Amino acid sequence: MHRAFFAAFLASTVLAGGAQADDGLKDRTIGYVLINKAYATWQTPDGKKECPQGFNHGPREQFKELFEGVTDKFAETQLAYEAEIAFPGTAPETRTFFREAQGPMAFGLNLDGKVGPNDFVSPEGEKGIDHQMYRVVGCTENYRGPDGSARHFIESYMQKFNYNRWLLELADVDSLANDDDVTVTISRGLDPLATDAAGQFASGGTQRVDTRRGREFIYTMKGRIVDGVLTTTPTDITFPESQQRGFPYQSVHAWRARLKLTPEGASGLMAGYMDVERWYHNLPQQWSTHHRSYGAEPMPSQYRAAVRLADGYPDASGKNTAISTAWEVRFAQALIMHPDEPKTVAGKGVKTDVAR
Amino acid sequence: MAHFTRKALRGSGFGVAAAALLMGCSAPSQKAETPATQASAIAEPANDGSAKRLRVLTEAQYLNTLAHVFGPDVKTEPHFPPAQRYDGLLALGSARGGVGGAQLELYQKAAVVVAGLITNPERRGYLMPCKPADEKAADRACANQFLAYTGRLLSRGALTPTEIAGFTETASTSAASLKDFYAGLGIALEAMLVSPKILFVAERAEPDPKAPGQMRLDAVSLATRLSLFLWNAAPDDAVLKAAESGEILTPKGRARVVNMMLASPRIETGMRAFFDDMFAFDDFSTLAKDPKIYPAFTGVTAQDAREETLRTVIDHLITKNGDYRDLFTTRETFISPALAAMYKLPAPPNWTPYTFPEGAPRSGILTQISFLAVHSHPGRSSPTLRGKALREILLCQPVPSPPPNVDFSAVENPNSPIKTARERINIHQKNPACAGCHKIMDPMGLALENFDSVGRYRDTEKGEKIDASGTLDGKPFQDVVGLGKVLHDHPSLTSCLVKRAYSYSTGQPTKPSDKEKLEFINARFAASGYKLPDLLRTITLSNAFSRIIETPAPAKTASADVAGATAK
Repeated sequence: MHRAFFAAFLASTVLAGGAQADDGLKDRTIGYVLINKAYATWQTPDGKKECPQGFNHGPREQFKELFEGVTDKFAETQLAYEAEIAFPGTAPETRTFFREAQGPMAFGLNLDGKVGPNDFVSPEGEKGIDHQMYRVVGCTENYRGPDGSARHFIESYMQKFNYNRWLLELADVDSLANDDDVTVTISRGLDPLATDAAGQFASGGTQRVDTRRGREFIYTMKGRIVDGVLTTTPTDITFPESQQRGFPYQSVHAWRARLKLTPEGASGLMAGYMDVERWYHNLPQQWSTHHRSYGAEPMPSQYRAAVRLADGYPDASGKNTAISTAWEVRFAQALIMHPDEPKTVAGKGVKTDVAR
Repeated sequence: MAHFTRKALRGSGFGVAAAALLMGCSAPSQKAETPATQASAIAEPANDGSAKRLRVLTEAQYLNTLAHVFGPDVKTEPHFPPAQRYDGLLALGSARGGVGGAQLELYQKAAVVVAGLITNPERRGYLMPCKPADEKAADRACANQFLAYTGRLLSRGALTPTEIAGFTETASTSAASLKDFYAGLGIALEAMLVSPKILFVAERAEPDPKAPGQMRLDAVSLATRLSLFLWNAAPDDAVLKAAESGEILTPKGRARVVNMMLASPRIETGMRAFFDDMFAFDDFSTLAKDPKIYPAFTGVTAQDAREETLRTVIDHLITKNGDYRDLFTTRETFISPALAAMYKLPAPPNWTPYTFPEGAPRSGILTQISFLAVHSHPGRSSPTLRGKALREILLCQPVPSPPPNVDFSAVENPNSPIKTARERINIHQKNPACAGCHKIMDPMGLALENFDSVGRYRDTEKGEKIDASGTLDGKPFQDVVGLGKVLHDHPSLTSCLVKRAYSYSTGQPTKPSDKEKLEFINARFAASGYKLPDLLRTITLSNAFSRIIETPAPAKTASADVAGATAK
């Protein structure tokens, strides 16, 4: 980008007085950058309440269950298991056993506005919580906090690699406390996360919007702020999620966020119906069987569960294609630069596996 | 121009004499006067110049010289010990004190690294002017060619035939012994790099044929003094040629060389070094802030803060040829992402020019993070430290040290009911032992109280609105922007730069007998519109720069032996 452009841009953005207002708003806007993201996994310390049958077996255990005693048959064992990972079926498992998270409690949002028989209750008592993905990942050590391997690495790669940089910008904001009509734009950033003297992610860093290769990740929606909590209107989005392997993304129907806002950051939940095929396409692509063994993650079994538990967006045959999912997220305030006018995509349909 | 001149002279500590000079010299001119013509009309008073010095080459000068001779990738991290600041400048410290065994070891280690880099197979192809007949044997002719060529550039003048023969002999003997031409050459180069002729700058004087009875720097010493001042490096081939031919000793030839040096991009390196020294930015090497109080201030912030001010200075004074005084009111600067977070601005990667808008409290380099952060405590701002620094650094007004029995309890109590720095500092004003010095430091420092210890803007301190008004030597101001304007017109601002620049150029502190020389330089500086290149030209073309005061030979000591050996 041309230096003169940035110089002109900077000159136009500073407040008279050279300082941002104390409420963090500048020209009625405030920006944030994602610094933490993980599946919102409700869990008890020993896991016995939500996982009464114990935690899931991973690839090594499943391999033993499937091929115990079979030797010298590479194609029928190792390759067969890899083939199952790459092309999982949906027929019920016979020799392996998948443990879904049990019970009525889960973090998440009420995505459909209804209270159904399979819905959860939030720890705060909110009914109608839609989060079937919790049943898929809740009893897999890879995703349990605070140190599940996949949980750690998904977040770590999100933080380290600019490909995954997520920006959230609020415009037309009268107050971070209450405003019933704000404009929310999500996009991809180009810059590393700012850190402070202790190495913690800090507010106040700059993020440039990626309007070139990140154009497909720009979405604009409406939102409202009530008592400092932002709720956005449901919008179909895709967002980048890579562990430095390929350029994968997730597609989420009716995505929305519920975030407590402060001038320094935002935190809370985001949720929506995640496209099952897109999700599973990423899963083995991002991490090998070897890596999935870190946290005992049985990918073929997870696929079967996700298909079975999918609860939204049925296709022509009536089969649900998306599964309700919630993430806990934390953002740091950031100063967002728009190098040129972004072409926003409002309410765009879910992505398919088209090469990007 | 009259306005310029009157203002400048009124502002000068030597105003009356300079005004007389100006009026007397500029009146007959028929041509339209420009700052340059008006400045050149001011004649230099008769003076005896400065003393010749023996200085140690600084680490930056050593590295810059290597980069100029061998290319920027031939670099090492020698960690030469820093000089001691004297009379406001580190540069003056390099002419004081000796060189100990530990320091020599550092020079030797650096020489080993540099010799290895130069004779490395990747570089020898283009750094060597010749190839040996056999890489596994000595080649006296090739070694001689290389050592004579580089020795001249590194030693700031041609080596004597004896010296070249000595280094060549070392290279040949070593190559024969090691059965490796380049290894042998490396040993000779290593010896050359630790030789006093390279590490010590020993100025030599000669009788001035145009001023009988007076001495002047000889041609090579003049070239070296010019180069160390303007480029912070040894003279290059072109400057050395002008010295070797004697051209540099003629007024016309010296003017040509100075103009060539001022036109070179290396002037930026030289002036960065000067202002880094004058502003005492070596304090950044030990700057630390409490990360619990100021988590956003990182090592990168400190590094970039120093760079921001130096960029602003070079851009304003060199690139734009601006008025030195405007540095204290300009809203133009450069920001990096790390600084942008402190200024609460967005910024793309790398450095971006930026202009603070009218009405913003950032105006002039005093409001940049560098000055604000360096002259503060790790956990809080300090009007006293800031005021003291500004007096000493920018106005050349030394502030006496505090008495040993100062009671700091009232200002350092974290649970004090006193809210603002102004209230805390008023305690000093009530104590006659403190009030004398605090009266000259605190008003300037309090004007910067709208910035915390790391230079972030604030309106209040502990909920109390900050009052940044004050006076500077009788001139009132309301806030830091006002302070910048008062400082802009303060008489000592420009005369301090002149004093520092002249000291820096000659490597020695000014003394009372330099009064007339400084008056002359001040007058020229004022007449030129306070333009740095004109100031540099005035200094480097003056007799004050090149004429040498003969001093009695010092008593013979161990260090004098080194100096004597070097100067021979």
